[in-house]
Amino acid sequence: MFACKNCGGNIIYDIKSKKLVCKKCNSSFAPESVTKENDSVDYDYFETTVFTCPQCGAEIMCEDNEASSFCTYCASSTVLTSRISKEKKPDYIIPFEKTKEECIEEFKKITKKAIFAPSELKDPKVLDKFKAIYVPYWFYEVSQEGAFKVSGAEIQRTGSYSNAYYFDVNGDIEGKFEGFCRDASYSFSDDLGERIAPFFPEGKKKFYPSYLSGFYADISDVDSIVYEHEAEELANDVAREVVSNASCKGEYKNMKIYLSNDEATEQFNTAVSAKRALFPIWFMSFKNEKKVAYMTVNGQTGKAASDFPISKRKFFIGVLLLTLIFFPVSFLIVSMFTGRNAFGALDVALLLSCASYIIYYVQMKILQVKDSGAEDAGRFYEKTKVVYIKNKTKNENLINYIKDSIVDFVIGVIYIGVMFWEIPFMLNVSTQGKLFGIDAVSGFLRILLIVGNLVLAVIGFIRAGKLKNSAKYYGVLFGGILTISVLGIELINANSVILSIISCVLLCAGAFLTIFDLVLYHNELTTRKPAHLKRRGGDAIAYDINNLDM
Amino acid sequence: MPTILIILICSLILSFFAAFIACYFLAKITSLPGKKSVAEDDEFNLCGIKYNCVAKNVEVKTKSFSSNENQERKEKMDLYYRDISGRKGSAR
Repeated sequence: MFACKNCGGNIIYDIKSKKLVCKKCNSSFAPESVTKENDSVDYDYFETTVFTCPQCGAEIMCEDNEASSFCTYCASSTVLTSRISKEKKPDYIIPFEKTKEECIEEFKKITKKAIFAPSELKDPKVLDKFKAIYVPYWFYEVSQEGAFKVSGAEIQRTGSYSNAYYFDVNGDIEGKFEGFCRDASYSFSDDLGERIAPFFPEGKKKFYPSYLSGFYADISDVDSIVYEHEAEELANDVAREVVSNASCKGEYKNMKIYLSNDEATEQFNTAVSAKRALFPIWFMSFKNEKKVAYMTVNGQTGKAASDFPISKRKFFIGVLLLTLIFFPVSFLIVSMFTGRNAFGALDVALLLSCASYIIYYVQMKILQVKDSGAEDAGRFYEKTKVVYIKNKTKNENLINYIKDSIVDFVIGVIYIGVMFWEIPFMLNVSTQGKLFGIDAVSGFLRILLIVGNLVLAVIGFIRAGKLKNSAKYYGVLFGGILTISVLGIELINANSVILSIISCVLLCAGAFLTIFDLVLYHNELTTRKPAHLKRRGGDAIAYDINNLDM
Repeated sequence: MPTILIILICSLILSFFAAFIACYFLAKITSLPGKKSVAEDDEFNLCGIKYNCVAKNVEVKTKSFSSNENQERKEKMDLYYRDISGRKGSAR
């Protein structure tokens, strides 16, 4: 606690006046003028109270004793244990500029669009739980200075001939970059951090512990080396481009210099330094069933971002409403199959069923990547001690994705090809009313599609089993069984209208169970398990529990 | 079974089918708000980063010229054209 120089009362940082204000006598002080006894003695560390949650193990710094009754990370009302600790002093801090009221207004804007988010998130009592937290960030400064000597080329194409001109380019470079920031806390995924970015370096101040009075602050636990390469590469890219453009003179207007990142670092003397910083984030953990979802608002700009769980109740209501909306179109389509309505509808249902299983298969792949934590550089480094370098271009990402997914790609092409091949047969042949009868030319294709659905369901289920942040759901397997049972029914009697309608229902039920599994998985990954970890909340829980498998 | 009843039942099944697929995507799209910022007026898209990068005293000396399209050069040229097609803006 910081004491008022006039009356000894508690003083806290006031966002609007940007000063420390005494609750008792209304005195106000500049943050840099208020220090504790030990602050001036130790330049690298400062003394603070660290609270630990017995439920989830999260640790958070706070000068205020109110923190002892509520955990910001797992949202449990519990008595936190506290201890006095010496923490590494950050170099900078960006003080809060947005008040709680402004933060709630910004958050309301995104909840308006999130029509399937739980209704509780619009409840003022819930919104009041937003807490102001300073999150540790690495603030990178990059400098480039000195003489360079590089090679460049320009190739001029005339008709089918090309003339190549090669050059030596000499000069001096001078570059300064400030404000490349990455979060140094496991509690935030890189993705969420990037979505509330940017923080503008113009607002940064030299750190004084008094800025934290009245706020929570998270503790840094990601090494600065994790993002150094990104900062270096970004500066080299810009410098390379600047030198290329400066070299384009006279008739050579498209000269390009060629340098790898390492060569650029050497030529431009690129040097990266990392500073510790605390950035302001309005933060709320929302309990959804037994897990928590994080809601965040940038305390400097007011930009809000969140991973909302899907409310099951709202999902069912949405399905019913859309059913009513789609009904006239479906009626029209089924009516078009004159004299063979049930058989035509079964064909359409089969195609929709295929679409559902393809969606499941693809989505499960995306969820698997998210679940592994491989996209979070901090978690990746902690596990592997290897700096994760993000692929820079969309093309590179696409090529790597295709390389990794060659089996998926082949299955997809064949499967979708069969689906499209099926359409003309569906329109012409099913008039005979024999979906799987030997006289139906497309019978074989339809059997392929149904078996294909089962294969996709099984592969998807195996993938789901590998998700470490979630429980197992069996909807897709039941769905696959229902789908394959259609094959049996139709083989018994493909000419029965009643059996065709039953087959339609089975296909529909199977696909619904499959898609609903995706909703459940989505909810699993937008929320985090708060319990059973050794030390911290957030992504660290996933890491600790799952022992990330890369 | 009367035809109209068959049409009604089948239409209901199909509309429910289409509804939950559409609903899933709608829920998915709306549940992850907050897009990454893009600095449209910045040629390098360095949103939130203060920077100043200048190349001074740049001297360009012609080293060699070639119009032979051998395999190695061809690969270089392909690389060159790929890079050029992605370039934009000018020096600061």
